[in-house]
Amino acid sequence: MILAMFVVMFGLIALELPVAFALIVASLFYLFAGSMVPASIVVQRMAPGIDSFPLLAIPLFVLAGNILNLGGIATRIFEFAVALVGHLRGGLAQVNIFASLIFAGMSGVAQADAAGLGTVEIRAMKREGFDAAFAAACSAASAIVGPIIPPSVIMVIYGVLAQVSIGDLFLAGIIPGFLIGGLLMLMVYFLVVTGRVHAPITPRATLPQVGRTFVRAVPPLLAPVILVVGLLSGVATPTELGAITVVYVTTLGFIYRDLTLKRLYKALSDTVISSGVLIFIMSAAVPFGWAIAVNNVPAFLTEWLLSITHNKYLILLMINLLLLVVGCVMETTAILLIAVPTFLPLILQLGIDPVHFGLVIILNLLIGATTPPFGVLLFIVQDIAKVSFAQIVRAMLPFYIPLGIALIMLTYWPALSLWLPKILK
Amino acid sequence: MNTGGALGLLWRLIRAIGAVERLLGITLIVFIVVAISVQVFTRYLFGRPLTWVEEGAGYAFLWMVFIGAGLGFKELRHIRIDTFVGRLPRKPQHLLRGALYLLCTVTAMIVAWYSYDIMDIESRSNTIALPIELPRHLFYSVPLFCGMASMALTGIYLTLANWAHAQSGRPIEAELAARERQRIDDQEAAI
Repeated sequence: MILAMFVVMFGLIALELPVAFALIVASLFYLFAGSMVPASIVVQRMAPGIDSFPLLAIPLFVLAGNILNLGGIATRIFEFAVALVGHLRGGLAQVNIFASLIFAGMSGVAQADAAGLGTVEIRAMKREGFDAAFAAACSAASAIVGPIIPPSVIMVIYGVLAQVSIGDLFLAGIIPGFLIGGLLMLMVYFLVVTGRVHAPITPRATLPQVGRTFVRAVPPLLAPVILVVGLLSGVATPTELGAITVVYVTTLGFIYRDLTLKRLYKALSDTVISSGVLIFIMSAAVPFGWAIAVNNVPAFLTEWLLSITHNKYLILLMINLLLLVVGCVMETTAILLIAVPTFLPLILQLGIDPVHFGLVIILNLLIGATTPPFGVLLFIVQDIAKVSFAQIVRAMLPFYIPLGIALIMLTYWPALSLWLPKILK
Repeated sequence: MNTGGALGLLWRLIRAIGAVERLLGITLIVFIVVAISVQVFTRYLFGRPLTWVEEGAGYAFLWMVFIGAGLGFKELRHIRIDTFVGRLPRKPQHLLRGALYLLCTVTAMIVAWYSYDIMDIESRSNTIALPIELPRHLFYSVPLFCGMASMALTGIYLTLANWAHAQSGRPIEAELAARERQRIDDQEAAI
């Protein structure tokens, strides 16, 4: 019966039913067809299931991202990145990735990075004579860094599901985030040097130019500093830091005159909808998660996988491969909501740190967001670059190599993620 | 009865409910930002946290989620995965979409019904830190019920509008509105 529940859910999603409804319908199907439990008991868990203070960080970071995306701040960061790395081989393609690394410290959603900074980057690259599909692929690949470097909405969801410290997860993402950025920049360098991609050269910025763009970028650059200092000093929880970030970027927006009351209204309205829709999926997944738990699915899975091997590295490889395949066809949050309660008992039994596992699963699912047929980041950059989906997928292909290497490194080198939270706490 | 007219009327009602939801949702998110920020500052200024602010922000959040989900359904913003349905010819495509929205409607009604059912049980326990004690169902089953009822009503419209579109090519107002919002967004981004 539990298998039928999964089939119903996947089938309905394939028919384009909204993910939240597919989860509820599948759980109701299970309750009505194969369970003696009254449905009201399960429905009763839907609201309390999302009553958690850490989850409040989600609308706050989404709102901060929406305000950052209004234009001026993304442009300032982009100009600063041009002055710093624009002269490297690869020119604006390197700038694209470098700017995403900075922007990642303020925004918590990959979609916001791809849509906000992506618009600035792709336009500038097209203007300079870059291939539009390549520009779009650079933006999609580098947007992955957004939720790896704190703040991160998906880390908040994982933290709540796995009951691990969101502060630790945030700190654990910093080094892997820079590693991914570095590997992507290396790939751009390789593509340009080998003549696979044509990259117009940007002249080296003079020191006064670097200084000028830096001064213009200082106020936005302070946002990630506030966040990291806040996390390290324990002055405020991630949720509180979310609220402080919102107040800070709103003030900046008004000072820079990017923000008008009308735009703020739109940013607020958009936040209510996008975080409402996202967290409603979490609420809809509560009955589904309950059905998985009462049927001992995690225990069966653990037993089955352990009967094949006790090698934790092999098991991590199997989980990674499975999630990469599912990630191609499913939506990130939905997979996370099902995969975490299913795999976590096994992970803990194998002695794998849940913070380390969190980083692995999050990077894996973000790579899934850049793979066809369902790659939400590809859809966003395609819309900006106005090129065909097939062209973007082709331009994306080389970037799967550094992303794959980063995933392998993150999986098999736990210190990469765990070292920073350990020494700083 | 003129179905087009009745559907148009239903859409206007849904839009009006949406406007109220938007206003409520925005008020709640502003309250959350202000409440949490104030709490951080008072903790450092006066050395003690205002616990009721944290609990209040949590309840505002629950309302915001279900209101946002209801509003998102009207704006066709619920996350779904584009597969083959969009490639079907117009008639079967919209007949199928109508059927799927019917499924959403029935589901939303069932959940709304059960959440109505549990209000009584939930109302027996109270909030903890708020200045006035309030029954808990005001923040659990009531927002869930409101969100689900809102989505059920939108679902009825979307079902009928898709079927009407399959039959006669009558425009689906919700889709037109979504396209218009996209056009304005693109225009803003171009500036």
